[in-house]
Amino acid sequence: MKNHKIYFLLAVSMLFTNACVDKDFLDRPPVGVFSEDALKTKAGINGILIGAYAGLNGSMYGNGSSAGADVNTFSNWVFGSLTSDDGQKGADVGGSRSNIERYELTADNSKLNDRWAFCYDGVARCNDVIRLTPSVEGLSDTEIKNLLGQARTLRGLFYFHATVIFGRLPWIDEKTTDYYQKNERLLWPEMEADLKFGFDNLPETFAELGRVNKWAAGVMLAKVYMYQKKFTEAKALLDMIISSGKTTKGIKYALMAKYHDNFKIETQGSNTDSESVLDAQYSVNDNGRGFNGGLGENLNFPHGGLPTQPGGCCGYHQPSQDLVNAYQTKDGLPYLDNHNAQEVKNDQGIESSAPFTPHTGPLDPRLDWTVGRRGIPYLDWGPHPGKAWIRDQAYAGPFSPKKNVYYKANEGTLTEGTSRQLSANNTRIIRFADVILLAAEAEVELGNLEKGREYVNQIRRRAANPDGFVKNPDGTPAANYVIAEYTAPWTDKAMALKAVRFERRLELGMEGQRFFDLVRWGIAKETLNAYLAYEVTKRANLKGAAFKDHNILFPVPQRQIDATKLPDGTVTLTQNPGY
Amino acid sequence: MILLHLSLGAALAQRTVTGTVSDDQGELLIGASVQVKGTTTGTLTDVDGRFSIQVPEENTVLIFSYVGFERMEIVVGNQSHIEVILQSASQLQEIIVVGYGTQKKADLTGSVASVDVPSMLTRPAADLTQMFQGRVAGVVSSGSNQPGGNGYVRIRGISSFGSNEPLVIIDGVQTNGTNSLNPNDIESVNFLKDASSAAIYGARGAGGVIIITTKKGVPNKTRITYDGYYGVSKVIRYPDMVNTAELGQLLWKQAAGAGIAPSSPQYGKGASPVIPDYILAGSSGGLLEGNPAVDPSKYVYDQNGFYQIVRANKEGTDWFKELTQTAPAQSHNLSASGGSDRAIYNLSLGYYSEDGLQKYTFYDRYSARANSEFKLGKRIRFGETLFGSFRKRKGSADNGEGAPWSHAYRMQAIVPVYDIMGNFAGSKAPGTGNGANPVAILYRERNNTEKDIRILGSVYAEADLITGLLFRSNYGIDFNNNFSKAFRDVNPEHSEGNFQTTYSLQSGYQFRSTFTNTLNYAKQIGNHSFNVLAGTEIVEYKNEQLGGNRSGYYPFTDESFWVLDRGNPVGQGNFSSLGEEALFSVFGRIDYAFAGKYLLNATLRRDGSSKFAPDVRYGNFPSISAGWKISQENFMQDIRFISSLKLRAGYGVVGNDQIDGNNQFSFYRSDPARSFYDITGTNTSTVSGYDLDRKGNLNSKWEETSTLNLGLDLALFDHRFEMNLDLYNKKTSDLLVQIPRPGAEGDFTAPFVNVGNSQNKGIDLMLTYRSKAAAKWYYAASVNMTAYKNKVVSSGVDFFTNTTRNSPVSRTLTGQAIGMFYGYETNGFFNSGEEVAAAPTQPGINKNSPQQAVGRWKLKDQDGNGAVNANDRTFLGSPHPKFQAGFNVDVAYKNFDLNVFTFWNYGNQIYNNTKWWTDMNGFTGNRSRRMLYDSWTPENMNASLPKLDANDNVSNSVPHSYFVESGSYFRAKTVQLGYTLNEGFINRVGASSLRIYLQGQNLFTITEYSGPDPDLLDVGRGDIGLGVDHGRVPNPRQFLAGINLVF
Repeated sequence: MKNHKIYFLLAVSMLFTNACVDKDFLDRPPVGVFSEDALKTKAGINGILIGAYAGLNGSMYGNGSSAGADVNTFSNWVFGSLTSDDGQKGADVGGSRSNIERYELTADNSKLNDRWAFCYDGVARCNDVIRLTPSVEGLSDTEIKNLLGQARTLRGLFYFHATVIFGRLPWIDEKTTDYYQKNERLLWPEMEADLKFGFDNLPETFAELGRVNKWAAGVMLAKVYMYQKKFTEAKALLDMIISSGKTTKGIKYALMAKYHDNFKIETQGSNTDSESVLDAQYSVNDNGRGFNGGLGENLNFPHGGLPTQPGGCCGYHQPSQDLVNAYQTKDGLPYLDNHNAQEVKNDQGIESSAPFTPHTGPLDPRLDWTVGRRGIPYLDWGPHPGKAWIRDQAYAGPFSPKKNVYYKANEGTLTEGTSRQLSANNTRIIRFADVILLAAEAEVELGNLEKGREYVNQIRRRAANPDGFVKNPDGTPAANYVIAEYTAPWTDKAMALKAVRFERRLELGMEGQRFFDLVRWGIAKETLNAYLAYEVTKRANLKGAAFKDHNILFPVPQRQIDATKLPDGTVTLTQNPGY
Repeated sequence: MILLHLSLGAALAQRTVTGTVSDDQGELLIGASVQVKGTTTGTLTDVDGRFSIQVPEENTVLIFSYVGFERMEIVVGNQSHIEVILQSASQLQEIIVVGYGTQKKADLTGSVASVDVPSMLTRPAADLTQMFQGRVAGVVSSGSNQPGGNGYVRIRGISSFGSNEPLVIIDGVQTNGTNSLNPNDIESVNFLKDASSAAIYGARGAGGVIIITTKKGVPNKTRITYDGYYGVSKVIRYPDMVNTAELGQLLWKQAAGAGIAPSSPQYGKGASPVIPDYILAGSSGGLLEGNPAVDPSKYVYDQNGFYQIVRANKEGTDWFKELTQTAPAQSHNLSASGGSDRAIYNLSLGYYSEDGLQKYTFYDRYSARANSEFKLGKRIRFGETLFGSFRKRKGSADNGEGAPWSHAYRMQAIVPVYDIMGNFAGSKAPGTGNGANPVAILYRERNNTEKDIRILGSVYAEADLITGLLFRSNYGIDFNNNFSKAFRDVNPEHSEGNFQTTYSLQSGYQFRSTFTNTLNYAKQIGNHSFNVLAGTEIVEYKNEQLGGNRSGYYPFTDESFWVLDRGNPVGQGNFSSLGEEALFSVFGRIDYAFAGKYLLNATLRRDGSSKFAPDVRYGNFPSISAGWKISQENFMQDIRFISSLKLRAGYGVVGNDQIDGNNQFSFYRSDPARSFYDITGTNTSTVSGYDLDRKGNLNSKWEETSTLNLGLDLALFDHRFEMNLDLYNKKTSDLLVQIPRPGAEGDFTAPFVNVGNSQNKGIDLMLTYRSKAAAKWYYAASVNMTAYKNKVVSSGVDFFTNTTRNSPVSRTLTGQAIGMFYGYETNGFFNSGEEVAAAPTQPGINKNSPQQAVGRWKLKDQDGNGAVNANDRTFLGSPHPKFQAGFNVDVAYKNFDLNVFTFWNYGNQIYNNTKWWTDMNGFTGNRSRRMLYDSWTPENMNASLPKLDANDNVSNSVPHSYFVESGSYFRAKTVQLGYTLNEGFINRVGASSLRIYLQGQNLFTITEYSGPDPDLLDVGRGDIGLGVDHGRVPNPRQFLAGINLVF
């Protein structure tokens, strides 16, 4: 009797615990996430494609931290501009960007790793689309082409932006399972294949203007040709693009009437935006904690922290005196040979409270849409007050960047609620002016100098539109803008090439392409050392800096080399020479 | 018979009481003290253990004491003969709580250590685990120095990369830490150090197990106690930074070194630096008195026309002193315990508060405990332990690069704390960098609050089913509800500041339940004794969080507007999350002893964890151990000076599943920040998308740790000398590591995978010596030592961790210890242009401009190939101490007692990452005095730092040996002097004893480490972040006074 009780107790207790533990007890799947299988639907695969597009506004890498944001976007100011004669790191002393600016890079520089990881995360997102599309049921052929075309075009874009920085790269595609791939070659053939696929398969228009269309893929392909000096292929393609290309919205490619409409939130993507080939579409106040705004440019505002200035921080990416001088004109044309022989007056060392009269000599009107300088209206923020908006004039000079800056009228609605340094002002990854200038270059390289001149003049004609000048409040031009077309026929190829390249610098100033152009043209060392020799007379922080042959590429991040060592100690990634 | 005192007073009802005093083995005790309580009347037992004493009345209490035994008090009543059995003090403690039961210490075969709770409590701290430092051989602990911060404790070192956190069992309930516990409630703390003792906890035992039991009542012994102390703490060691004038000198020397004209927005452009009168007016700096810009009437502190005027602090602000404070701490604890033979109880109320060492930080904790047990008939007992606490932490809570302490490295001395109108000053003054005024951070975050309510408790039932068969069922919960609010205030004085505000709220809970059922059968058959345990356990864990934020509170920034609805809905955010884990286990244990001298123990546990995929979900964790009580052998009986001698040996396997619960799963996320895109170009909205969040691994399985443990317990001279020695070899296999993946794979959370094996060989040694005499003098000294050597033994393990501003600085490689510091080795300086030309090329150094390279570090070309590159990096030091030792000395004389506790940490290195900010050219900020006075010059080639050069961005751009320093230190942790009153006045107010004490903590430290505190085991970056100093508030010196009052 007694024993029965005991066993009863015992059995109940032990069974009780066991009974709770059915076979599902230890299954605790995560909530609020999506398995790959769940996304193998039309909506799912489109969502993954949107995820790949999300790479265009950056900062995917590093769990959404804003650290490294400046290189985790398609704003190329760190690798493409402060490394060039256009811009400087700016702000004040020190930091990892100073090593980049002075060509004293070590492979430990965190910016390199951030950039590498950013580009390859973009590639991975595209690969997910390409890999999963075949297993989604119910897609039409057109839809499949559409998905693959967009993903492959974007993949080409990500590879391109890594190639110009690191050179040889490991090829990772949708079939890759072993990620310990060597960086043995330049990936131009793969990029060409991706972009050609996009060009051949994508439609010309989309309902959503943010997508890459056929023509965007074509432009990227033309650019890839140009980087390989395949001028004939480039020209053929560019001719087609110029004659038939249109924006995703279906607007025929053309330069917008006013130069600065490229950098104005309201005109970007509007029905007059005939110039957008591919924008990184930024948005704010969208519950994205600011990460969809212009993170890459978040340091590049006049410094001072006041609501009376855009952004208020942090004074980075200041234009160089060399760039400013380049906008001087003589008879409306630039000084192709020695633009620093005469200087544009600046307010270096002058307090904002002290009087200052800006430069009165003739200037290309694009200067004042590219560079913020004392006394010239800074969009609708009033005249740039000079020193008060500069973090440390003695360190990096008196100028501010401008193209990335938003209008005062946009404050609060098109800037992020938690940070004025994030706005909806898109980064124009490629705009049609770039296309025309590439075409000009291809024509000149192929000996068609006059065609080249025609293209360059097309660019200058738009810049010369007086409606597009920076104006004082009374409607008068803010400076002495004198710009003319090249009227004399081009007969000397070297001169023509110089004019085309100079035009490219003027038109695309501070847009992050300059360094890569110089390297592509093979004139980086001479140009940049000449620039340093001049600029160091203004900026003590450049003293001792020198561009060496190996600086045409950046080092492969040490962290990546270390992370891809094989178990037997074999190194997978090879460092670029000189590092 | 020796008579110490004779009671000669002719008391009213004097009568004689006789008796004997013996130990629990029946041995009569010679020379035991017998004393009439509250008087000086006393005697000692004779050679036959007998005594005879005159007592005044029936209520008289006799106190029996003997060295090494528990003191005992007996009310005489009407007895005339009393036979007293004293419990051996060590014997009593020797009932040790082990997994799912208790065991006599004498019968232990594994490696189990107890902390001496009273001496542990002499270290005042919010978190119990901080009190373990140096107290137990094999246990390493440290604190966080944040008010109310979590302690850090590791048992037998680091052997895993994931987590080496020990499992904490409180009254049978699995918990996630001791932080909210009231240390005064603790009855015992036992550490299961080796696998043979921890294997009963299987899956979660790899980091060792800490078993904490809380106080229960004692039948028929009502006791009310009050313990309290009050103390003050102060930081006594600060980094040595340049003052205002010195920074000017440094900047000028840097300009000279770079070959450029000196220029500073503050110190001017002259031949020598000039300290200005004002550092800011509007946007200008470097202003002199009389400049119209500094006219106070221009001052505006508003976003419209903001115009700040700040005077220079010409002597220099000592930011570290400004941000710290003398911080009071107090603890009050009231407890009542008692009971009858039917029920026992222990109740306590506790209050603890401390101000942080950083200004405007505060922590307090209210706690209550009720433990009780009831008997139902003879065989059934019910009971509960219940603990509740309410904690509140206010103020800034950061550690690391963004913390106020770290900003103090970056604030120049010329910047004062306040501007001319008493608002905060800061780096808005030109040329002062981007440091944030740390006092301003602390002040503005003073009302940021984290609150939590924790309920920790268990209910249990025990039934003696038949003789020797005990059934126990225990259900415990650990519930924590948290709520936090944080306000980001305006900071217009900061160089990168603004008028934007954000208010964020977060709330959630964690709930862990542990349901355990065990059967225990004990049986003695002749010389054979058996004890068999079998049980099942299920553990469930759930964590749910919810939060949101809004912006735009300016100008209404004070706390009365801190509700979400007052903020601007533009840019608002919200989130929620949920995580669950579960564990199911079956376990058993057999203890067998033969003739009380041969001991055998075996356990087996089978665990299933939700963290692993179904195929690899279950793991088996066996152990076996044996002991031989040599001193019980006949041949030892004549060796009188050996009181006890035991050999132990054990082997067992334990597991580690402390990885993310989602480790096995691959999934995509839908995140507005990372996977949404404004594909339609609206500028203010996005279309949702997906991106890969995590790659799972279905094959990741238990990390297994097997330990072979050999132990020797020796006691000599009536237990006056004791030694516990353990030697172990701990092998961890299938290490779970989240290996850094190639960036080419994309960005996602990588799974923990099983990669290799590591080995910790070590020694735990505890030596104690106690004096013999009890009457006037008593002293005891003990040493405990912890030493281990860690090594990765399986081939192919090689990865980097610990990212600083440079690349990761810690490398884990086969044949080396985990997380060794790795980088370039500096090898003096380039003393001439010829040396530069002749030397191998160096990272970042332009050989073509030798004038620039002279005076810079020469990095060693380890492979001698003529170029210094990544292949020339080498191991620079180890974060693992060679040993740690605690020295404890107790001295008592009459009513005085003195405790001195010192701690020695030897043989590890620290990667002092704060030097990145202070010792070399980098971001504008403040600099160390080392940099000014010990940088290379042609006259001082034997310097510690390279030539001052304003354009040197290279010297701190790679990890190298300058950052690595010795981490050894010797510290006087505690000196406590007490005085006990147990007669006279105290008795007349109804108390039985009162002890008052004075105490000093961290009175001095001997170290070569240049940072403020070498005690930085926990840097908040997990065990893989071991040994890197990112800047943190140092351990303070503390003085306090306390009382213990017993009724």
